[in-house]
Amino acid sequence: MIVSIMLRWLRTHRAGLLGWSAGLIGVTSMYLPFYTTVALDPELMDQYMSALPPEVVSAFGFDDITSPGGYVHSTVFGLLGLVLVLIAGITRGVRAIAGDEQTGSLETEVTAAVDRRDVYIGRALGVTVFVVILGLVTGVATALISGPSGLDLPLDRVAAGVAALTLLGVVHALIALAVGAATGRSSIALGVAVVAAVLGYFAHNLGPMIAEGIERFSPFYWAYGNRPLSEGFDWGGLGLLLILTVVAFVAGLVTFPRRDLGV
Amino acid sequence: MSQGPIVLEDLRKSYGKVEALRGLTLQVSAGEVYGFIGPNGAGKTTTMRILLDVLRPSGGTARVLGVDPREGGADLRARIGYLPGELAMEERSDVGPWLDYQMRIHRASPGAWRPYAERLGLDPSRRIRDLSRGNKQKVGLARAFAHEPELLVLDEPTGGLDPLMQQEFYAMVREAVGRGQTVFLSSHVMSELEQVAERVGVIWEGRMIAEAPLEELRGSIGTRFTVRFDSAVDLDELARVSGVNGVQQVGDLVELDHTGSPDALLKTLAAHTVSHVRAEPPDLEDAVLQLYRRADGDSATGADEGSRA
Repeated sequence: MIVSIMLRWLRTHRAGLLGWSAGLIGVTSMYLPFYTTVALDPELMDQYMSALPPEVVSAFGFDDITSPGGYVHSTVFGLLGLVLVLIAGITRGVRAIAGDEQTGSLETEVTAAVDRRDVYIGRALGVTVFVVILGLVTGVATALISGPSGLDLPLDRVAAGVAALTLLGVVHALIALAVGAATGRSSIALGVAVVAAVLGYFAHNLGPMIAEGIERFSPFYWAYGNRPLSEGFDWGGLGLLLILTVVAFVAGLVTFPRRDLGV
Repeated sequence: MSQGPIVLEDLRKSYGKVEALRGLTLQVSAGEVYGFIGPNGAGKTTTMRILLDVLRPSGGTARVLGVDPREGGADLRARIGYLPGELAMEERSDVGPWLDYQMRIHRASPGAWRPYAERLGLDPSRRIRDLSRGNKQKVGLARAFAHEPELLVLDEPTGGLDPLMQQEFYAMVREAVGRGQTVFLSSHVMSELEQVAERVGVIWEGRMIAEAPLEELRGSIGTRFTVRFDSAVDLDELARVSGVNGVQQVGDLVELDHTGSPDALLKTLAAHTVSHVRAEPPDLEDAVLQLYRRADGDSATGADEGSRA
């Protein structure tokens, strides 16, 4: 039954999946080819960067923009691609329970011969697969464009970046899902997930300038702190992301079957 | 089975300070059509959602097909067909695939809805978003009936249906009962229940204020006499006649609500010159309105009393 619910959820979101995938392919294929110009004169780029206030450079994660891994991170995985994956994941997570509960369409599923727990698990899996596909699409696009753009990023580095990006998206999507499942309020779910993402992002990129060590509590630091696109898989960071994902998932799983539905 | 398909005892439900159900007790017997009537906001939908375990009661007990809905889970719901009062579906889906999916999660075969869609004149290739309210209701009805559940819980089932489709729906209900299924349906309009319900429960502000077989309910309100006298009569004298529950002057006509044997009333009328008399059969809509008014008078301080005798 869980698989049926997951497949059905994905089916109803296939148009969105196509749209977001197209957006990610667009972002990837627009940014990465510009590396050829960066690579032509790395010193010039470094000068540009040093002309900017260091806080700005850090805030956008531009610290290492001239290396291939640094460039892919600064443009796609740490910036626009990341923003797209987060928005797509969080909005899906918000809608999967709380949103459908408010429109009422959840009622025809929870009143059928399925356990409410299965409804939650099926939809959580659907949201997860949705984000994973977006991560893979970004990865495939990056790998394909990497050569022609002169990036020549090794595949295992791309895979490491995709793992980090994907888990970062899944964590925030499931936070949104779980808060929505616990409260039934999509505004609260959206608020909590967005605040978590903004705080996490700035704690990672600007945190060290405000308080020493604060970045270590940020999922963005777990994902990107050790620069997976340049250095490869950071299993410790991915492990922390996975733990937070499971914690969020379980929080929704425990609370959702216990409450009244405002369907 | 000693217990009926639905047994509610002192059922309570509050949302914060608002009490939606204040000790609701009712029993639905196997194989009957039970009509649940009450004005909007009386607690009908809340009651039905408790039966489906969408809401959890704040107090009292509920048993559905012998099981507490909180414990019954998916196995219990497989035996129930439910039509939500505010039916919302995946707007972007087509009717056919959506119903196929619904059959799967109701443990029915994928095409089980087709005969019902056909009867109701529903086009399965349409998009749900493009359907009129009445057509959406047909999708909901097909979903509720298709797996031939032991118990049908239908919240305002005829809403949006045209008279022809209402008749088709009544036929579906009668056939379901013929197969031994039990039907629990709600409405805020008596005329919708009149055609199918064998027994009626009237709910008002979260409480049952009357419960009776339809015929009995009809008898309890009696007859309305409309009389024109050629000369003025003493209304108080008429009000004192046994069986008369209310008298009022409307223009040159006098209206009398009457229950029981009309003998005494007719003899009193015979003492006057009567130029016109009409005795109307009991109107159930009126009966229910009277029940509401009585309940309102009991519960409130009688704020708007006197507006009607």
